[in-house]
Amino acid sequence: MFTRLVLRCRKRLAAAGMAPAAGMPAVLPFRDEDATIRPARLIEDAELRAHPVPAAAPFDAPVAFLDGTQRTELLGYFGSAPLALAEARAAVRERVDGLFTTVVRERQVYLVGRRAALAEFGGEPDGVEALELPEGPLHPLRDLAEIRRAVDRVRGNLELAAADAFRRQRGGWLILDGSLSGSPTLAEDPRAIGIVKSHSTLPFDGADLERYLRLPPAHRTSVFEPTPGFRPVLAWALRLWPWEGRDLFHGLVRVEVAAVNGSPERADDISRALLAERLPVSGGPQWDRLLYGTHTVQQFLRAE
Amino acid sequence: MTETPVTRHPIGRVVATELKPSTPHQFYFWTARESAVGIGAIVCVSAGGRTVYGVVTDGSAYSDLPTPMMDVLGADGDPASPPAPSARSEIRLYLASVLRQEPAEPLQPVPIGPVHLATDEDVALALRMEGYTVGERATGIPVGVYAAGGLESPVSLDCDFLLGPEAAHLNISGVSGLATKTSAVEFLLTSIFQTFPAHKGSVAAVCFNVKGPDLCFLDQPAELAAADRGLYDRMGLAAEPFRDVRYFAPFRPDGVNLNTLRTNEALAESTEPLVWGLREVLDFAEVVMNKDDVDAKADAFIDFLAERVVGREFYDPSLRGKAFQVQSFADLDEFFRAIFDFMEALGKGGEVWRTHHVATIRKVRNRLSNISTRSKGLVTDDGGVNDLPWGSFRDRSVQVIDVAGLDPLAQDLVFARVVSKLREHLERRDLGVDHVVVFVDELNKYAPADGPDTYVRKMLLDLSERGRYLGLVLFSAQQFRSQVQRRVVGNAGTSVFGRMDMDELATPQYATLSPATKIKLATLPKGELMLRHPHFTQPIFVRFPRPAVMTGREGVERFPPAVELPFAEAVARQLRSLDRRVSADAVRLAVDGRREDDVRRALAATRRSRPDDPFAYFISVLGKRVVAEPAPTQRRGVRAVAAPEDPYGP
Repeated sequence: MFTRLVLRCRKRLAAAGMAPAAGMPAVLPFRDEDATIRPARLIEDAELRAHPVPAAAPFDAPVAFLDGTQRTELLGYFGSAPLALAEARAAVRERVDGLFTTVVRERQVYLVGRRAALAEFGGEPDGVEALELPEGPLHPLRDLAEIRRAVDRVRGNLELAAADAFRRQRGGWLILDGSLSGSPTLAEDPRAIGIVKSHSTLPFDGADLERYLRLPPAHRTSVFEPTPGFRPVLAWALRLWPWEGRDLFHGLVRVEVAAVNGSPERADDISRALLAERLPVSGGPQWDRLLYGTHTVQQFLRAE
Repeated sequence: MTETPVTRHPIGRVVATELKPSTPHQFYFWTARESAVGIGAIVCVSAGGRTVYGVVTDGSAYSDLPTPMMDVLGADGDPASPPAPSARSEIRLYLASVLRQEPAEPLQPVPIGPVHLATDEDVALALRMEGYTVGERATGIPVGVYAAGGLESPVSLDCDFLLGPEAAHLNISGVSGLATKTSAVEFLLTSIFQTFPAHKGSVAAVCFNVKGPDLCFLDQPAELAAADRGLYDRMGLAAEPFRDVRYFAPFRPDGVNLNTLRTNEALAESTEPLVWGLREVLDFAEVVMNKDDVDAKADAFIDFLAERVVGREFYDPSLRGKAFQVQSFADLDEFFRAIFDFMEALGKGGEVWRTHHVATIRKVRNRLSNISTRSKGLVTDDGGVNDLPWGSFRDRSVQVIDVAGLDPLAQDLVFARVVSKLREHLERRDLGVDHVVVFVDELNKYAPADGPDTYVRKMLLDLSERGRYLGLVLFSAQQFRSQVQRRVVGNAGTSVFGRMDMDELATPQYATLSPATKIKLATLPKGELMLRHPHFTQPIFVRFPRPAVMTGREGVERFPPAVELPFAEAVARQLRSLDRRVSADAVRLAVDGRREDDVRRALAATRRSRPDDPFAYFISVLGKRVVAEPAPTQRRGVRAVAAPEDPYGP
């Protein structure tokens, strides 16, 4: 459906005298995340330690997984200003008795570009909203990067909306693919867990960093506060799979929870449940950090 | 109210990709993990104004597991490790072959849409049964029920394509003992007898019992389970044995004990001997002689005998100066002896009689007496004949000919003669019925795929290719279809398969079946069959009930065969089968000291005539007892002449 919409929009753009494109230019840089150290505050232990996690035991209640996707297609250029069509999706799939069903789905489609390009296009198609880029000196590649960031934000908002929608229906565990600190509601949700796979931002340096990155399998680090003074989430690192012979980051995730779940005992309980969620193995390049439940949400979003 | 497809709960959805596209002849669909779909299930798809009926021929399942190694990693190499909390996403993907599309034109690929399990109405439409199972001139013959997805939907064959004239003949294959071939034919004959359309006339059956007691108790009821009775009810049939059955069996070589397992006295009334004489055999000498035996010269001499000698008064002054009445093998033997006596008397130069060389005559004599010897019990020396009721077959009657105990040569003879006679009478429309179903088991023996071309094989080929126009229909069975002459099985309009041997399924004849269908055939339980019929564009699986007739084993237990009796007792038993008042002691007294040939002749005559008082008739034919006269005293040898003194004597 999205592809047909892209084709229709490109035709319309061409009819309006704009220059249609065939796709994203290859020269576009990849996702821009700065690699940084953002020091965290230890809550548990005087110095960062590795704690063995008790034997894996699955959640004893229904658990749901949330994730989102985005897709951006370059329609063409108004002069030098790019105009894109973007789709963001988010979904929540709940597991009951081992089987998943989709309980929440959200979708939004945006026409993204500078005001002039949007105006020249002559109005959004049905079901599509306009997303205006900030004005400023025009550089097509910078605009394209800005388009991607804008769509990222849209996706993030959509995921939060999906989480809210789920929470209105259900009170069970909700595991998000990403940080909780982006949403005040989720940051305080006692049944929300954020699984952060990316390690662009690391919470320690020096010897602590080394202990952090050499965490043994089926171990967690001491509980810490990743963004002191910003959001009241607590976190710890958890090693899902043995890393020796592979990469330091292999099987390493950061688990974020509301402060109420930050005690060592809760950290152990949640960690052993997350260890159980390693299986079945999801497959794909991120299989060591991608929980299967999250994988099914991605499968669902790709299939729609 | 009939549930339309759109209101029923779908059990699947059609999927089509570049690698697995939908075509006008097959389509893929997926179902939930738990569904009633399986190999052989009939489904229907309704979308875009089209309705497509298909039968599932294959299925596969796979999950999102990228490689088996990932599963090993996840379990740490331990198959006993605790299961994962999440079940993998899994697809159950089925392939269905199209049975029918509505509308039929234009013929297009199957549309994408929801898939439903077939209802009774869908089954009837899918198999095109609505064209021949409804209306005043319906021609449906129930053959079983389609049983899948909780349904038990009756399936019928079209009589016009089973018994002619459009197509005819049925062939059934399957492993011995497991494929229930005989049971299937018994049930189908029951169904035919109960549902044969009145406007098509009358029908009867002739069955050859080739092994054991399989077909020996078709007139006896069986105990049926409730499930089987339910199937009969579902098909609108009565669960009862055949009402009009006659059994024919040859004698044992003694000529008085029947060569069959159906010899219990309780069943004697419907069991009679099958006995042929010279005339009956001579017409089919070709059957039991191969090409090497019968060259042109021998053929000519046999023709001469058949046309000029047998059954006629033949006079040749060279042959003892008297006329010969050759009616039996014994008479024929006497006739040959007369010829040989004549030739021996001529001495040197006496090698030809009426243009026939003595070697030819000897060869024919040897072959014909060989028939008589190898068919003892079936063929008599004394001219007595007891045969099927040619010309007076009754509607819905079954004639069973028990050849299980016969020499293979004799079996061929029986088969050839009976089928030829059936054909002859049907051509003249004077058999008594309009259609005859002939059931032959072990077809590979009579029409083998390889080997020399025999009379029987040629006859079966002719029957399969042209029999339907006469109303002569072949129901045949064998274990391995690949071992039967291809044209014979190929002409069967309806093919039935019970459990099959895996090696047989690997032969090219089964290449059109999917691997999953072959596996199902190799593991088919008793009572289930796969059917191919002209109206069905794909083979389908049906279940049929146990026949309502006693099995051979049950019959032998309930009606144990009579022990082989001494000659006199056997004669008494034969006479008592005609009249229970006949005293065994009286019979014993009457036959005591009499020549067995005379007794057999009298017995045969009594059976033929069916008099009111069989014993009195038997005695009258047997004639007065000839008291043996003492043989004349032998002449002593001639006294030797007194020898003169012999100077050189001892």
